[in-house]
Amino acid sequence: MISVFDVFKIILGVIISVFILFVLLRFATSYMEIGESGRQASIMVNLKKSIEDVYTTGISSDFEGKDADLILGYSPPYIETPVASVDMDPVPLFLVPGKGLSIYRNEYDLGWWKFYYIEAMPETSILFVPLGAQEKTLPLIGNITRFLPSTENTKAKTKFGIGCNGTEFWFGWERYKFTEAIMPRLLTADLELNLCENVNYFRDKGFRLVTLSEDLKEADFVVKPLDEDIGYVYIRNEEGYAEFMYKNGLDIAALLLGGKGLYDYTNEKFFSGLEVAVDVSIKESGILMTNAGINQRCGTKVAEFVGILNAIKELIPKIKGPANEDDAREFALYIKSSSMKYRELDSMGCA
Amino acid sequence: MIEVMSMKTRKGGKGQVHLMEYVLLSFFVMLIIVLITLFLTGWQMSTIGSEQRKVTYAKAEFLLRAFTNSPYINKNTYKEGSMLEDSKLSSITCDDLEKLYGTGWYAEVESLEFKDECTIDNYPLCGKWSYCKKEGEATTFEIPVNIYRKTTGEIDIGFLKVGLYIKQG
Repeated sequence: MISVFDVFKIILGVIISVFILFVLLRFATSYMEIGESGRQASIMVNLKKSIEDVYTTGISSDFEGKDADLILGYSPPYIETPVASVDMDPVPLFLVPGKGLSIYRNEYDLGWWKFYYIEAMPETSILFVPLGAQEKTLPLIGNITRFLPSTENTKAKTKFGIGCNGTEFWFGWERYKFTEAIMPRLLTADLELNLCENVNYFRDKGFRLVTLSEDLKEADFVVKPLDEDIGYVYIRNEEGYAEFMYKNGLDIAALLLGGKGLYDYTNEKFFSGLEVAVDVSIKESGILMTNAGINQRCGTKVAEFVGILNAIKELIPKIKGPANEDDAREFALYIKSSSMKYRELDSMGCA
Repeated sequence: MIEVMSMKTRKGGKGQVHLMEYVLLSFFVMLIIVLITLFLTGWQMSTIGSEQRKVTYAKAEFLLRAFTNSPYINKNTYKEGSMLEDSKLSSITCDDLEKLYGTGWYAEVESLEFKDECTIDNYPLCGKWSYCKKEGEATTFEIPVNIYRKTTGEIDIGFLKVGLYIKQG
């Protein structure tokens, strides 16, 4: 027969066992969660390192497979993940979340300064739809394409094409082939292009359609050039269209890949870099002219170059915020002049 | 009668000893669990600490590589980087670099040929450039670089040192 003491032993044993089991289970669960978070964090650290490596070396790479699923979103400069937000500053990054990313360093080269930025993108299909005056819209395609990634050396490809003639379109080239072989042919061909009729087909296939037209057309993403360098981008939303002014192809690429958030962030990074570059170049020219005794021939040209840089410096505060068309036009003109003048200096051996 | 009572008392005493044994056993089991928990937590903390050190090293290494390839201090036509231009090094300031790369670091470039600190007045007869004051404990990396002498077209050998301050607390 079981004594009272035996019953007590059983009850005490059960209580202690349940308690121990509970403590162990709780600890094991949180330990597993910590382990999983640690794994996810180390994947994100690797992604950050890959992006930084590409930024500093210029050698493209891939970020493959399931790991890319951990990216929930990108609100510049933060990559949102289930563990934490990964701050990518100071690397200017165009990131489009998706399976398998190609990481590519692109640049806006002014000759006397380069603005480096990273494009991390999954497989992407971009179809340009130039309408109306093609002498304006076709060169603009080349100007936009050079700010998008060249994926010849990576697995996730970004391909370009042009359309549409009814339901017909021409597509499937990477940047180099598209700009070097296809675009020159298109510029001489007498194309008759219209808005794509089968929009749903393109939406299902994940195409990004870029409509280029001097009038606003019924499309999701419309680029309206005012002249060679500046114009407006219209992005369709619930209320109609959001309007953004572009001053270069970089603005259009930012809007196409990341909308307003990326456009604002890119402008902030670009202008802070440009401000520093202008200051350094002005000071550098001053030092060389006073201390290194630049000859008369170079001196005049260097002074002209510094004059252009000073004009850019004065325009930066105006153009940084919401700019008007005249300021934007003037800015684009000075940027172009600065590159031309620098090339001239370089060819004279004065740069 | 007395014998029966003393037997009962002896039995009760034995029960109390058993109870004490169980309480002690439970206490030791709990103690072991607490110790294991503390050990694992401590281990996890030290892992986090070493991860933080890794992150600091990675940041310092990134800064060093970003400097060697920076379009603000490199020769324009030299795509591979590590070809710092003396006139640009003399023109850029700590404030400029902080706008680009944030705060909490210092950098030095030193030529093996000239040892004088560069100012606007003694350019180009100088060979040392310092950016942002060195203060406190820092994780520092150093790398050999080429220094392009713009006025003569010659190339010096030098060292680029970049230190990232270790955050306290």
